[in-house]
Amino acid sequence: MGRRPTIPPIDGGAPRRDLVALLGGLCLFLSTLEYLIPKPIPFLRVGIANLPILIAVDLLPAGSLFLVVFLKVVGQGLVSGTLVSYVFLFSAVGSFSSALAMVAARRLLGQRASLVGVGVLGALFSNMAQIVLARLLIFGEGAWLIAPPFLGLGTITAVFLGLFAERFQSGSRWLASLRSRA
Amino acid sequence: MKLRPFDYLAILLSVAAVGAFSVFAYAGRGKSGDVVVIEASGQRWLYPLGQSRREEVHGPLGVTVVVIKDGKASVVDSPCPDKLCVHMAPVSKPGQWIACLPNRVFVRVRGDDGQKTDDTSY
Repeated sequence: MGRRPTIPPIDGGAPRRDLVALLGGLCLFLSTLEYLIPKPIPFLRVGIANLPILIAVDLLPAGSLFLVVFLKVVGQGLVSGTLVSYVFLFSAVGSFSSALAMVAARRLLGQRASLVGVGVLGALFSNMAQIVLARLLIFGEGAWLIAPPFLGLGTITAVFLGLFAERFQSGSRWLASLRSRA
Repeated sequence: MKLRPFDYLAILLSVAAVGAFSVFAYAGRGKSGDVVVIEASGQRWLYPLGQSRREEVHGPLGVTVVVIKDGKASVVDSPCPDKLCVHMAPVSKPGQWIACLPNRVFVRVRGDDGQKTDDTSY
């Protein structure tokens, strides 16, 4: 890495709107795949549905990125049937915390972090926000017991998703054509 | 690809968070726990682990049945769709837990740190 230039945000109008829709749809599709993977304990997920958002950190301005996150959260709620339950609150708080953390990380750290570091910070903030929410809303002090496996697995999957996203960023012809058009 | 300095720092921060919570959660592991803590609907019940019993806990979906037997606590029935809590292994050591998210029931084992268990009345 390191060779990769900072990608200018895709200019406004139709191309950016298409990209937001495409990434949002991709999140929805990956969510359905995610739900096929059996979960050993509640909470634990691989997080593949976050891959488009991780890639979007370097592609879209913050506003459009949050729109993708919104599409992902609502789409996931529809697919899993949790849109009108408190689980949706966890999903929304987790996803937006992670997006905020990733945008902040990219702005503060610039290219001194790859998508691995950005993704790991995103996972950490998403999971911490959800644990705090669980502490406040449901479980009381017991919620802190969930933290070690939840944060641990989140770190591991985030590293792998980050590595994948980096590979994708440097290898994708689709992305290269997007950048050359931008 | 090569990881950059802040990648390592981010991973280190995450691992440190896991470590800190582990120390908090698993302190006192090894010795067998004494108290089963059940948290649901904003309430909290304590039961001795050594005494066999069957408790029905009410949550938003209905009744979750927690059984304490042979020094182990387990969830034997819950009105949730996926039954993850029923499939989780019985817990007996401090820090171990079983959660039923949909019915908002949380069962954990705590070492006896002097707090008295709720009295049992028959």
